[in-house]
Amino acid sequence: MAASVSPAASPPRRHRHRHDDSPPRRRRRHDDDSPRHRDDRKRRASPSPSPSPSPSDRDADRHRGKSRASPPRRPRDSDPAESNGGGAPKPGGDNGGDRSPRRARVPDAEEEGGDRRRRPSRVSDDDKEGGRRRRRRSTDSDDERGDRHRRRHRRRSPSSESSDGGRSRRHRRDESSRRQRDERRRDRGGREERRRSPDRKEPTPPLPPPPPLLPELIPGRTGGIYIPPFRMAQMMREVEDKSSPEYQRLSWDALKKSINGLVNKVNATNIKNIVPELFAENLVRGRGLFCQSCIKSQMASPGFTDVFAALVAVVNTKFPEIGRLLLVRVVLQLKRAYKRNDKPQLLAATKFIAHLVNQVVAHELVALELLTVLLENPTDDSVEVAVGFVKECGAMLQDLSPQGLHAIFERFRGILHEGEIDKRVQFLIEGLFAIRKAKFQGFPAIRPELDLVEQEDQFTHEISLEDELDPETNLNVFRANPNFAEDEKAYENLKRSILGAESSDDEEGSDDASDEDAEEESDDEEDEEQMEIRDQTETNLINLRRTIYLTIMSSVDFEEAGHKLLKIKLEPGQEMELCIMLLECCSQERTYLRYYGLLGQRFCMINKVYQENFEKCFVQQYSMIHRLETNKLRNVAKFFAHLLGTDALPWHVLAYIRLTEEDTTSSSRIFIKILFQELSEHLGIRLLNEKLNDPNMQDSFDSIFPKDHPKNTRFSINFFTSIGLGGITETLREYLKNMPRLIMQQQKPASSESGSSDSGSASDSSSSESESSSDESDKKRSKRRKR
Amino acid sequence: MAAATTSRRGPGAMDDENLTFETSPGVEVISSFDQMGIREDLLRGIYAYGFEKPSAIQQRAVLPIISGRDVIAQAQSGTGKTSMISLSVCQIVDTAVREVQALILSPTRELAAQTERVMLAIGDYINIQVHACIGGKSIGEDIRKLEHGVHVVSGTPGRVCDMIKRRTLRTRAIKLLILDEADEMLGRGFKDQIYDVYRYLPPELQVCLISATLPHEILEMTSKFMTDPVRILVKRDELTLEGIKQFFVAVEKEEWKFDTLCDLYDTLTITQAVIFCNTKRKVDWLTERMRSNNFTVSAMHGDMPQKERDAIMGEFRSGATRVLITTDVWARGLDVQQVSLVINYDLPNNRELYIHRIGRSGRFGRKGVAINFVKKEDIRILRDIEQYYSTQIDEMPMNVADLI
Repeated sequence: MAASVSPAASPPRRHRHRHDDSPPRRRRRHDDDSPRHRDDRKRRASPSPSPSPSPSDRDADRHRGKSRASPPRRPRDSDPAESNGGGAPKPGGDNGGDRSPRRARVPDAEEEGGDRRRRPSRVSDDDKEGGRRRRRRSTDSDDERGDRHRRRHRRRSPSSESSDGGRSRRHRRDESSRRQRDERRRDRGGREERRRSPDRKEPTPPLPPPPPLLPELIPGRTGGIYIPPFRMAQMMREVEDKSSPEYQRLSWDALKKSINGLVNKVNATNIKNIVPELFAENLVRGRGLFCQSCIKSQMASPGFTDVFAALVAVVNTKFPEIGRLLLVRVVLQLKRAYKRNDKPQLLAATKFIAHLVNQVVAHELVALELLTVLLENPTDDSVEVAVGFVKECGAMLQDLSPQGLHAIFERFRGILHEGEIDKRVQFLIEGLFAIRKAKFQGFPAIRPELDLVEQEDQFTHEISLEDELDPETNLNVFRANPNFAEDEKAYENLKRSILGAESSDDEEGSDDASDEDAEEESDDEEDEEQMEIRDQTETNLINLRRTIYLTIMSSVDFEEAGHKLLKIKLEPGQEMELCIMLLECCSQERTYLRYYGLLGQRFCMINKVYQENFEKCFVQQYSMIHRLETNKLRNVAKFFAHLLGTDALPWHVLAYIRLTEEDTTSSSRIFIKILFQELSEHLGIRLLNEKLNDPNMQDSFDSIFPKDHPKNTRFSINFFTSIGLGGITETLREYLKNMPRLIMQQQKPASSESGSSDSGSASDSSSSESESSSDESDKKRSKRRKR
Repeated sequence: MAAATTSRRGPGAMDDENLTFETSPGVEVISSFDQMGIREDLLRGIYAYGFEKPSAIQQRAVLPIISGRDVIAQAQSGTGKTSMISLSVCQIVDTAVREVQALILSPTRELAAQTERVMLAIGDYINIQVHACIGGKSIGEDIRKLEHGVHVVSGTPGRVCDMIKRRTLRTRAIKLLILDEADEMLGRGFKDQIYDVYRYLPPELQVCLISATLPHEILEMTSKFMTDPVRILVKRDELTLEGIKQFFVAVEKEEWKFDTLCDLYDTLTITQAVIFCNTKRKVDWLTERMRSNNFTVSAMHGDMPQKERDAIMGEFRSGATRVLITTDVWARGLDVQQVSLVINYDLPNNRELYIHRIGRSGRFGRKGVAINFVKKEDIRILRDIEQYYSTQIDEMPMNVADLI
C-alpha cells in the first residue's frame, strides 16, 4: 500500500509548492478544495473525530469561515509523513503555503462567479469519476485497466454530445494560461472538491427553480428543455464541484459553441473581424468541430458558400491539415449524396467544392474528375448539378485548365444533341453556353471582398474521387486528453505567433489613420503639394477622394449624387472619407447649397455608420472652427443645421457646444449664431423651443443653457436675445429669476447668516434687474411688495 | 436571373400531399408546368427562375385563372402565391399590345415591388413590361413609364388610384384584377380605395383574390363583385404547421433576452434570421447591440422612408447582412428565400400577426424554425396564439440543434 500510494502522491505535491507564490494560481485552489474533500470522505466509512485544532489551524478556520473543512485536511497531512518519513516537507511549511492563497481567495468575487458557471454539469460525472478512481486503486492489473479505459470512453460519448457549458468566451481566454499551469494539480483538486461538496450542499436550502431542472438535466443531456444562459448560470452557482476530465469537457463544449457562433456570424463584410476571433479559439483541438460547423452551415444555406470557402481558405494558410480535413469530408459527403441520389445535398457539396477550387484550397483536378463522373451517364439531375458546378467555378477552371474545361463543354454539347434529357435541363445547358461566351461575366471566381489570401500563401490539396478518404469523425466528439495542459499551452504559443502578426497589421492601420488626420489640417495648396510627392501606398486614398469629389460636383441633384456615391466601393473605415469630402465640397461653395444638406441627410438615414461619422465631423469642425474663414464657417454651420433640423443627426451633439464667455471665441459664436438661426428657419421658433425643452435631452442641452453660475446663465440669455432668438431662452430666464429664491431657501437654516444672505440676494436681484426687460422688473417690484 | 436561380433551389419539395384543400368542383390538380398549356418562352423563364415543379397552390389555381375564371385562392405564406400570380398574368397578357392588361394590387409597397420583381424574372423571355406603381417613389417616373407603355401594373391602391384619376393609367384594356393579401385589402383601410379603382375598370373584368387568411366576412363580400368564383381554400389548421417548427424559450425577464439570443447563435446553425421587435426603439437598441457583437445587421421599421427600406431589403436579400431586425411593417407577404430562423424577440401585439411573422421561414419546401422569447406575463398570450391557430408551440428542447 505504501509503495503504491507514494508515486501518485508526490508529483502533485511538488507542483503545489512550485506554484504557491503565483497570484492567479491561488484562485484555482479555492475550486480544487472541494473535490478533494469529497474524495476523502468516500474513502473512509465515516469522518474521524478530530483532536483539538492547533492555533494555526484555528486561524485558517476563522479566515475561511468554514470550520467543517478542517477534519479532512489532517488525514492528507498525515499520509505523506507516513509514506515518506524524513523526506516529507515540513508541516509548518504546508500550513504557511496554504494560508496565503486562502487570503487571496476572498475578494475575487468575479473569478468565483466565472468559475461557478462551469460547475452544474459535473454532478453525475463526478460520481462516475469517484467510482472509476476507486476501482483503479483496488487493483493493479493491466488488463483491468484496459477494460476501465474502454468503459470510460463509452460512458463519455453520450455526454460529450450535449450542449452543456456556459458562455464564458472572454473569461476562457484569460484563463487558458492558468489552466495549463494548474492542470497537473487537477487530480488532487478533484479529490478535494468531492470531499467538500456534500458539506456545502447540506447547509444551503435548495432554491425553487433549480430542483425541477436538475433531474431533467442529469439523466440524459440530449433530452430535456433548453436552458437559457441566465438559468444555466444560476444552476452553475448551485453546483461547485470540478475535476480534470470535467473541466476538459466543459471547455470542449464552450469551444464548440464559440466556433459555431463565429461561423454563424461570418459574412463578407465582417470576415476580417471574425478571423482573429476564430484563431483565438483552439483550432487544433477543435478542428473537427470547425469543419463540422462549416459544412453544416453551408448545407443550410448554399448562398453563403463563397463566404465559408473564404473562411476555410484563411484557416488553411495557417493550418493546412484543417483545410484538407474539410475537403475530405465534403468529398465524402458528395459521394454519399451521389449514391443516395440526394439532390439537395449533392448540389450543396458540389458548390462547396467549386468554391474551394476557386480559393485554390482544392486542386482543379477534383473538379474535372467530378464533372466527368456527372456527365458520363447523364440524367436530368446529374446534368443540372454539372451545369451549376461549372457556373460556380468555370472562371477559375478556364484559367487553370482551359483544355479540360473545353472537353467538358464538348461533352455538354454532345448531351444537348442527343436530346434525351428534359427540356428544362436543355435550357440550363444553353444558358451555360451563353455564360461561357460572356467569359463568365457575373460569375467571378472570387468576389473582391473575399480575396483574402495571397496565392503563394495558400496550400492546395490534391484529392481524387477515387482516393480512400478518412473523415476522422472522432474529432467531432469529446475525448479526455492526458496532455491537455501541454496541448493548450502549445496552442497558446501558436496563437500568439498568428495573432501577433494581426496586431502589427492593426498598428499599420492606425498609422494611416493618423496620416489622414494630419492631411485634414492642411490647406488646399499643401494638399496639392503633398499629393504630388505622396508614395503609392496613398494612391488609392487620393483616387477615392477624387472620385468622391467628381461625383459630388458633377451630379445634377442630390438623389443622383447619393445613388452614385453608394455605388463607389468603400473599404471598411473609409466612410469617413466620404463624409469629410462632402463637408469640404460644401464649405468651398460661394454660398450654401441645400444640395449638400439633402445629400448628407440621405447618407445619415441610409446607414448609421454615416450618421456616426457626421457626428464626429461636427465635433471636429467645432473644435477647429477658428481656422475657417467666414464664408466656410457659414456653409458648415448651415450644413449641420440642415442635418439637425431634419433629425438626420441626433441632437445630443449639441452637448459639445459650451456657450459661456470663456468657452467661446468670436468664430464659434458666429458658428452657433448661424446654426441656431438656420434651425429656427427650418423648424420655426415654436418647434425649436419644443425640441430644446425635451425632458429626455436636458443633459445634452445644459452646455448651451448653463445653470451652474448666474454669469454663464446670463451670457447665454444675452447671446440668444442678441441674435433674435430670445424666445428659446424662456426656461432659462425663469430659472435665473428663481435663482435668488433658491439661494435663500438653501440658507434659511443658518440663522446667524441670515442678515448677510439677505443683502447678498438683494444685490443679485438688483443687478439682474438692470439687464432684464421692463416687464420683469415690474414683476420683481410686485414681489418686493409681497415680502 | 442566375442569382435567383441559385437562391431558389431548396433542399427538398414541401410535402404537398399533407395539405387539405376545399375546392370548387372541376378543379384539377396538374402536377407539372409542361401540362398546363403554358407557352414555350414562359416555360423557359419559369425553369430559369429555378422552379422545377409547381407547388400545391400552383397546381390548382393557375389553370382556372388562365382560363378566365374568377378565382379565390388561399395559400400559406411561402407556397408560391407570388410566383403563381406572376405565372398566370404572364400567360394571359398579350405582349404585342403595349397597354395595361393586368392590375395587381397589394397592401404594402414591398409586396408590390416583390411581385414586379418576380414577374420580370419569370417573364424575361417573353419581354414583359411591368411597372411597380407604389407610393413613396417619384410620380414623374410613374407617369413616364406608364405613358411609355407597360403590360402589367403592380401597385398599392393609393398610387394606382391617383394614376387612374390623372388618366396616366388607362384602364380600357385591363382584363384581370388581382388582389394580393385580399383580407388586408378588403378588411380595413383599403376598401374605399379598392372601390375607387374598381369603378374605373371594364365591366367584363376577371377578378382574383389571393391571401393566406380569408375570414368569412371577406368571402361573403366577394359575391358583390365576383362571378361564380372558383374557390381554392385551405383549412385553417394547416396554415402554420406546414414546414415550420415552433418553440418558445422562457426567458423570464426582458433583460435576459439578449443573452439568450447570443446563446442561440452559438447553439444552432443559423444562416439568415429575421428578428421581430414591437417598437422602433427596441429595433434600434437591438441593432446597435448586435452590431457591437460583430453581427452583420440590417434594421427596418415603419418610420423609415421608402428608399431607405428598399436599400435595407436589398442588402439583406443579397446576403450582405445575415440578420434583419424589424417591426411588423415587414411582416406581410415578403419573400427572402434563405431565411432559416424567425425569432419573436417580442410576441406580436395582435395574434393575427403571428402567422405573417413566422411565415417568413419555411417557405416553399424549406424547413423553417420560429422561436418565441416569452416572459412570465407572455405565457397566456402564447397559449392564446396556440389555440387560435390550432398549432403547438413547445418549450425549446436541449437538443434543438439536432432537430433542425
